[in-house]
Amino acid sequence: MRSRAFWWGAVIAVACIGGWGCSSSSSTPGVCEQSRALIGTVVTIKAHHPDRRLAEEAIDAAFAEMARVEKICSWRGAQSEVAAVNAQAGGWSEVGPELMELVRRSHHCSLLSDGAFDITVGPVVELWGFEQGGGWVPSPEEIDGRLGLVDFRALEIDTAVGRLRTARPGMGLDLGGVAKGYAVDQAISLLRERGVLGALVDAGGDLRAIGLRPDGKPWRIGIKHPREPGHVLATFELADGSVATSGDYERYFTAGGIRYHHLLDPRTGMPARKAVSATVWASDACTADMWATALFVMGPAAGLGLAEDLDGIDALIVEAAEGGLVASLSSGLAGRIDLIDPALTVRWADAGDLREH
Amino acid sequence: MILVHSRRSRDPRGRLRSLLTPGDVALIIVLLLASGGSIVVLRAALAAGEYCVIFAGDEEFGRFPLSKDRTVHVPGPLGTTDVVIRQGSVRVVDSPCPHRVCVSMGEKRRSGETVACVPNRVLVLVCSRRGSGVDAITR
Repeated sequence: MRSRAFWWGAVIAVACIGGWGCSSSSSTPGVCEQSRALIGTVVTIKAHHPDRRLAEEAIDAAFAEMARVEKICSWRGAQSEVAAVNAQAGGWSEVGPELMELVRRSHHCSLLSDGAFDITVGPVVELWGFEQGGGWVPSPEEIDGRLGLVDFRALEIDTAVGRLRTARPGMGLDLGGVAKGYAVDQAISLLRERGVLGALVDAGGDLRAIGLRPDGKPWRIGIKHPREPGHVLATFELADGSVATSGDYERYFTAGGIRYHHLLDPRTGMPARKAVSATVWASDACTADMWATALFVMGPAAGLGLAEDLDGIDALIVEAAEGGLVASLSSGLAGRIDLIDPALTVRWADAGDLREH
Repeated sequence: MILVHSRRSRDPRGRLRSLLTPGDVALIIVLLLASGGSIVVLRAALAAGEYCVIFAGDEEFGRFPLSKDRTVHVPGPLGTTDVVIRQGSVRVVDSPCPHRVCVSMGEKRRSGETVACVPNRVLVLVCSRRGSGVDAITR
């Protein structure tokens, strides 16, 4: 017979797990933290080093490096390399090694995703007015007219000479789906060079971490809930690696009761409808950034199968179904993620198929 | 104090009664309710912002509690961005930027949320001393 001491112990254990177990704090004493407006978003860098002054100097240098990347990749700045390529549409443009590498990696992602990710999508994005801060629904004729300018296959890359050509006049590069991630990677490289012991770079939700927090624990990350503002959908730990999310809730407008968001399917010119958010884990932020966009457009059925086939990629793709949100996860996330929303239907990729739990 | 019962009942209900008195049951219910309540209270408390930090360019302009209503005029390269703190939330109500994206971002009240006027280099971060439970949010 179990004594009352046993039952009291059980009750206290339940109380500990239920109440005190969820009060884990994010307070990270010893971490230097700064935020700045860069690359079209808010960038926050956290870093720690026994010499606080060195950590602060490293963060300043990392911000300067991200500003340098912005000058290369911005399609708005008249002085950027991308702007120079776009001004030369139809002709060859000599570009630096960094832009060449970014375009090459983007092109590879476009091929693997069958055009779900495409850095020539700019002319159609422009049509929807998201860059102007608002938005309107273009006519099907307008979209058809611009779709002829969206084709990653028409982008010629001459790596031997270091030059690019967009084959048709009116075409242009839009590195919005990859530049933030690359800037984060460059910032991390610089922080590592400066000898910080641990760091977390956050560029509008594109994250990369190195090392641990000063308390010796991995960085704790939340995934924004796609339909409940102010709440997180899941949490997980990140030590050395990256994660990025694409969601239909960041930039959108509503017309006629329909939500039109800025993540367009480059093949149709319309907002992609197969997912409400896609979160991708990778070793570097550039890879995570572009695959988050690609898998969002592809949706869970096709996207998760591809994620399973890709080395070093894990994904969580959320779709809106009749009964509520459905989260589909790649098998590599098993045991690594804490799904908080109790209303979520969860499906795990299992040998290419989705298995519901 | 723990009492050891000398008699065993063959009836399972009787055995349970012999293990737990009505007082024990009441205490278990109270503890379970307190535990469940603490989850709700802690989650709500951790998510709520307590103050905001406003940056003008690279410099911190000031820290303002969300509990006190006020309007903050933040200078930038294009002019003045007006930030209003009201009833526990913060929002940009006016800014000299061309597209006024910051104004359309609405009010923010949860720790970790931001409003940024990139052209005028003004950034508003909602913070909480208790933290939001995570170091960053991917979105």
